[in-house]
Amino acid sequence: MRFSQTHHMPYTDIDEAGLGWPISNSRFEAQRAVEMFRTYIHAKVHAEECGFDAIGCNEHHMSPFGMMPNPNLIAASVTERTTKAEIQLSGNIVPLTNPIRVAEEYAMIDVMSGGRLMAGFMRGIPHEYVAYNIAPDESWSRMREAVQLILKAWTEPEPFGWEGEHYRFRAVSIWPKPVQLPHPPILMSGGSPTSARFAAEHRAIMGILRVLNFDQALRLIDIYKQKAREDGWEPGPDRFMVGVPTAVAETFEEAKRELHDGTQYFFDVLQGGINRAQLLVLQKTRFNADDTLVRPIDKDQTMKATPVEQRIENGQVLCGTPDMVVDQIERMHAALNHGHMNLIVKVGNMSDDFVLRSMRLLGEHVFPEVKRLGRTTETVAAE
Amino acid sequence: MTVEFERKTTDLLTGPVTYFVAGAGHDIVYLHPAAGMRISEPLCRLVRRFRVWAPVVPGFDGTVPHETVDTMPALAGLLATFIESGPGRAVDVVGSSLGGWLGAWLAVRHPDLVEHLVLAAPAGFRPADAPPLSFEPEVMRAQLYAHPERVPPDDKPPEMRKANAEAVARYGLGGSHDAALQARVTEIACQTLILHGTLDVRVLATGVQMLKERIPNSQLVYVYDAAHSLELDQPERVGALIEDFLVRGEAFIVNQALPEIADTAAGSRA
Repeated sequence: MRFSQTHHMPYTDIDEAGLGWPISNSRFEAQRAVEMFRTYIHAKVHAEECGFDAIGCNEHHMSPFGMMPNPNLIAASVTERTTKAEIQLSGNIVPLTNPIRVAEEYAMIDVMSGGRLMAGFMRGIPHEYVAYNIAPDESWSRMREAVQLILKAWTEPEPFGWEGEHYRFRAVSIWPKPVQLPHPPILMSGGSPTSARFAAEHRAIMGILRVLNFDQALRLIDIYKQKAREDGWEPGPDRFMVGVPTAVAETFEEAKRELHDGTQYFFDVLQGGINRAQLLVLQKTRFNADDTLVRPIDKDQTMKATPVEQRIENGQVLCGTPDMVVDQIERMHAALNHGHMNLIVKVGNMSDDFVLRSMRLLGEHVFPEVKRLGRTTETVAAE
Repeated sequence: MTVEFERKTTDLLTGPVTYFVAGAGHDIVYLHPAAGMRISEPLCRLVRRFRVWAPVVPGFDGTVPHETVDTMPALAGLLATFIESGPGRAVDVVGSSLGGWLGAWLAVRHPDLVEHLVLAAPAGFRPADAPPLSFEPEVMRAQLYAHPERVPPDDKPPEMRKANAEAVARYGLGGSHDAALQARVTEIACQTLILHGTLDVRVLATGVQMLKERIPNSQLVYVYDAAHSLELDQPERVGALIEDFLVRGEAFIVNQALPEIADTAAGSRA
């Protein structure tokens, strides 16, 4: 089992964000943000010392939910301060961005890190389309085309042009190209049947980045496997990543309290205006129209009201003492047979001291017990 | 967009050549694919600012083959004679699939007759060790079109389609591998645009990449969401791209703010 650390870098000095969109930045205090960035980047770098295999950076816009509108900048900073951990971009929201720019910046990170990039291609969540004024109805067609274009930019042996539906480039030849050949490993979201099939089509690592329950995760994994078999290959555990908010402490009570309070803050404050924008997009466009397994927004609010014990049972979170978390990971692995776990180590306004302690406990007492899970010949060779 | 092409015949040394012609301006010679001549949307678009000549390769579309013309180099020689007797000066050449193969031979053997060359999904450059091409109708249809719903009804009678297939065999084109031409494409001196559909499995990407590498003054452009029949799968994009290249030459890589291509005379291109 390989573990990645994700920290959304939230702005946590506000008590409420309002319910409308966009979320006003009138209460943003720059000096506090400076302190937060130092703390948060330190936490990311610390992940390598704690034994995490990868450090995640992800893109969100115009919200205190996460202050990484360009995760590649944070990735570059982390790259320079680490030596072994994979740099997991999870990832750039490719339909919103110039695909050539994504290809270039990812290649830069791969070169800067000596070949440690895991390249995430994400479609994003609905409100991002409002932020960047891209028609949500075009999200899939942009995504499909952009991914092909990025792969071309990485692998094409000669300069080329591209005449597409959304993108037109007459002369492309990026410098640098990635270190990893034929290209860095790809990570894609598998939060819906369409995205699960799309991930399988590209032999990407599929991230179920927020688990609703085991049944939902298994159905998505099965969809991926079915598509892979149609295409003539058999995916191993190393193709599947499961993402969970995580809190580890010496006592269950402390872990539970931190997770509970952080979750309340996450839903009450950080998720605030985002929900409004999400609803508008989902009501007025066909963003998820073809997908029946997508987690509805009201399920998020259900999660907020669900007791931590029940969320552990559902496979939505890891929480407790190191021994408890080892058991939870083993149970989850027995159900899903996945090879990657993406641990969201800061939930809401969870204290930063707690985040560091939780990561240390994971590294010292949890990882050594569960690293053996989900290992295949390929992952052993990669290590 | 439909344009009336005039159907004519010219008698050359080895036999008669049927051709279609329309428009006015700088001369373009369009070379059809193995399915025969079809007045496609991109072709009609070119007629807006060029005079388009579209000869039918002898043996295709019910025309009579020339007894002494049975190889691609010989066809290129016939085409050179056609250009000298028709346009009477150097032309731009747009070749689609089989037509691209022929256009490349023309540019190799008669460089003085070709100003700009467009090779759209050019046949002839399949690697020797590539799996053989299928000519089963169902397989071909799946490989030719990413968007079969966009293909206009084929008005050619079955016996003409059969004769076209025999003409392919006559010129020895079935393998789509021309080692002699591949060795000589480095001699193509004119500005060349190579087009390839991202879903094309009849012409492999390695083939067009080889062309891009070897033709000194060339541009390779991938047409997204198009199979082998680029002109029918993405008529608007392919038509605009070819027109832009033929109007602006090398400068077609520069983005223009105006939606329409600048009304530049073809002769003033870079």
